[in-house]
Amino acid sequence: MGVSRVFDIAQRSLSTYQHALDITSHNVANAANSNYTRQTAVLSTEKGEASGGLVFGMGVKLDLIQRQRDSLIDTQIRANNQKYSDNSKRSNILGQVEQLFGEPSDLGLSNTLNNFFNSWSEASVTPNSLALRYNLIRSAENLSNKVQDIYTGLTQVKSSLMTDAQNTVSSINSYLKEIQSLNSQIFEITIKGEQPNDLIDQRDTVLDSLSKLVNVNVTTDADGSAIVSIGGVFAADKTVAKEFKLSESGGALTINSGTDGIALNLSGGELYAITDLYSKGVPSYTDKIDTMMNSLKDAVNKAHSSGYSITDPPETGINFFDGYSEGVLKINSDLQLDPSKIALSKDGTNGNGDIATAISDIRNAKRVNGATISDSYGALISEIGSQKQSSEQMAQSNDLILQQLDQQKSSISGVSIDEEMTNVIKFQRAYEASAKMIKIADDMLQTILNMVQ
Amino acid sequence: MLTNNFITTLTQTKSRIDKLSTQIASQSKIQKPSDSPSGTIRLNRLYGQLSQSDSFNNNIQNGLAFVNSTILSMETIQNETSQTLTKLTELVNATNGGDFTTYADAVDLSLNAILDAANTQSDGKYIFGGTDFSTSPFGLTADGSSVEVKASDISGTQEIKISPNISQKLNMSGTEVFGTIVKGIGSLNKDGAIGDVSSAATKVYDAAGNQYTLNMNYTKSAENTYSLSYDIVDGSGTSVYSSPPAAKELVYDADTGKLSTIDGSSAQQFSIKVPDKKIDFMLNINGLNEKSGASSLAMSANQQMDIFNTLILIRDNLRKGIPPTEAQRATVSDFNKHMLAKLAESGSVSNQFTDVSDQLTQQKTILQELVSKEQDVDIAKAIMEMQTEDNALQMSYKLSAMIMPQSLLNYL
Repeated sequence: MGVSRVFDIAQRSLSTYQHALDITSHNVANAANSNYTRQTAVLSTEKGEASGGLVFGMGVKLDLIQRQRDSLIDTQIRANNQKYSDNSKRSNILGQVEQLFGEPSDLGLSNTLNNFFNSWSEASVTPNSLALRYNLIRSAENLSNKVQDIYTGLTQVKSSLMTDAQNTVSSINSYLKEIQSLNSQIFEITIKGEQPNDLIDQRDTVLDSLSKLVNVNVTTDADGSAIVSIGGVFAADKTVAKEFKLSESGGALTINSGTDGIALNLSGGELYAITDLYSKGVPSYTDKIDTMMNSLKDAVNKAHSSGYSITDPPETGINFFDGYSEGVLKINSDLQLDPSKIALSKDGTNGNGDIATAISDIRNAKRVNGATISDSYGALISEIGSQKQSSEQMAQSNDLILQQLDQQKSSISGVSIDEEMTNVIKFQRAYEASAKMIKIADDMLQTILNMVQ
Repeated sequence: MLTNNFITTLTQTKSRIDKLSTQIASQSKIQKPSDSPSGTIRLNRLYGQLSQSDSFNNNIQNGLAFVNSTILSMETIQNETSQTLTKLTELVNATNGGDFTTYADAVDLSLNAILDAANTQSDGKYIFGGTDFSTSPFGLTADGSSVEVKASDISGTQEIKISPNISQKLNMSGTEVFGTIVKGIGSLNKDGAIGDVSSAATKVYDAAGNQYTLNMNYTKSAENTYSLSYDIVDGSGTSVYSSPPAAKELVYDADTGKLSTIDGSSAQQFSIKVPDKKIDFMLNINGLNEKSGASSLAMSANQQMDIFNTLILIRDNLRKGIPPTEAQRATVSDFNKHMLAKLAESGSVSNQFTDVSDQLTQQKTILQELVSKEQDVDIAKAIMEMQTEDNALQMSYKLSAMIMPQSLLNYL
């Protein structure tokens, strides 16, 4: 034991606090990086040396560069990411859908439907008026155009959902490859006994991004590799990254594992919102429109075909609508060309408007599952509005939870400039003190050397 | 953490300000269904009711114009009839007996005025044309000796919807106003055997006032079903038909005993015409029911001849120096009373239209109030709320500007 030990202790101390300052500097540099996890220098005392029955401390050493991360919060964030992304995406899509209907306004289908029935009612008063018959054709054309607009809009939404789904699946596959690659790199560093903190940060960022797209489950094995499964199907680890494929069958979208064809059981994330609305939501809206319009077409045609035109001679057995299919409510072109062929008369006389009255009464008839056509349409609008409102509120609620979780995460993993500056001062002072110790040891050695001279 | 909190709060405040400003600009609380799904349903229903109410009101206004035209025409007819009646009464006085030609001319003028009024149009519709607007309902025969119905059927009734559950008869059909209606009343034996025949007869007249007999036989053909055969014979018992007219099938409601259909149609009357004999009347058997007990049948006509041909007969007789008979004066007088009754009936329809229109207007006001409650923004409240939000936003900016730039670095 001699003065040299002071040198050893001080030199180790200088090195340790230099590393500690490096870590602090790394933290400060990443203060604005939201994906960065604060790292701390874990210091411990160096193993002491026994001498003369006493154990002398050998100073300080850097044990570990620790990531300040709470895995439970990470799990909760990912779980809420899935819910938030699902509801937020759903809300966005439903927002597009509800705009197509243009309710409540004069331009909505509801008003167009009212005008259609009103035109029949008004024609019933003066059934021989050609002007009112032309008006009737115009109102039917407006109705037909509005239905077609809505239907086309819904078809376009579906088409954009398909593109969205394809892009999302592509992103998922890309993320999985990235995770597998990061897992592999992390494994290589971990087996050397080192801490791949920044790589883990990168992987966590990718996992967070993935959890926004799809319901994901992440476990970490002993090597530090993340084992990822999506919708109950294994997706990636350190050696494998599965590729998923999008397929459509019977109007429904499914995501299958490319290698074994197992279908994902989606329950969260943007992809769930996209596939659910593509497979169930939008088709249910178009089905309801189809039901309403078929019911309207059948009811109008049934009454109209029993009536008589005001042509000479009067004609009967004429349908008002040629048919309805996929949003196209086709008006009998003969009637469009010659409205005198519209059959408003019940008895063949040109002043009888009983058929017009009967058709205008369809408005109040409960023809669609015990409801009127207008009420049935109102229920559809309400359903879409409620779904959008509910998704929006759920998304807001999920967002609040995410914010709280983010705050908790920030309080653990985020970089506080104040704290880091405090550490800087602390480490700097320790470094200065260690340097001073070297000076003192040097002085002590000089004293001894002077004694020898 | 501080930054995130600040941004979140700021975004929320701005979002509320955006919503309030949109509401103030559009003056509507509901821009899209998701703003209030239940409110949207209520609004759609209210708009639907408003639209339907407007449609009914339009129908009423159109109907009212038609009824007013009807009243105007009927007033003309009634005035002419009344004047003719006065002239005919004057002819009873022996001192006026010498100048029949003047009276004949006066009757002719009235006849033309009545005929003209009977062919009046309103909005392209013949007022007394029933539901046949293709041709004027009345006109002179080819030989100009009598007036006949030119339209195929002037008995049709026009009904318009004036509320979801009320249909109002709009017109006075030509048959109702001018036609001869023979009514069959009484009952047929519900318990009678198949093949049982019940008969009835009444006098009918042609346009020249000649008398005929209408014979009717109701033969039970099945339960609640009868075959109605009829014939019109002259004073010598000879049928006016070259071949018997086709029998009608009458079906009665088994429960109520009321007439359900005639030849499958729900109409309760049918027209009987013999053009070459100038016989034209409506047979209405609405009052003939089916019930247990012996059949009891009776028939009656509202008039012997229609007003046109009665006036033609009077005019032609006057030109020949023959004064009108008491029966002819009675026919004109009856028609005058009939017109007064029909005027009262049309007045009542007009009043109903006005009343329902008033109700619809009142209902519209209430509906508009409900729409307003559902949709309209309380501007004062919205502006106050926006001001509060704006203050909060300003405070948030100020506070953030004071706190966020500070750190330990400022003090080292």
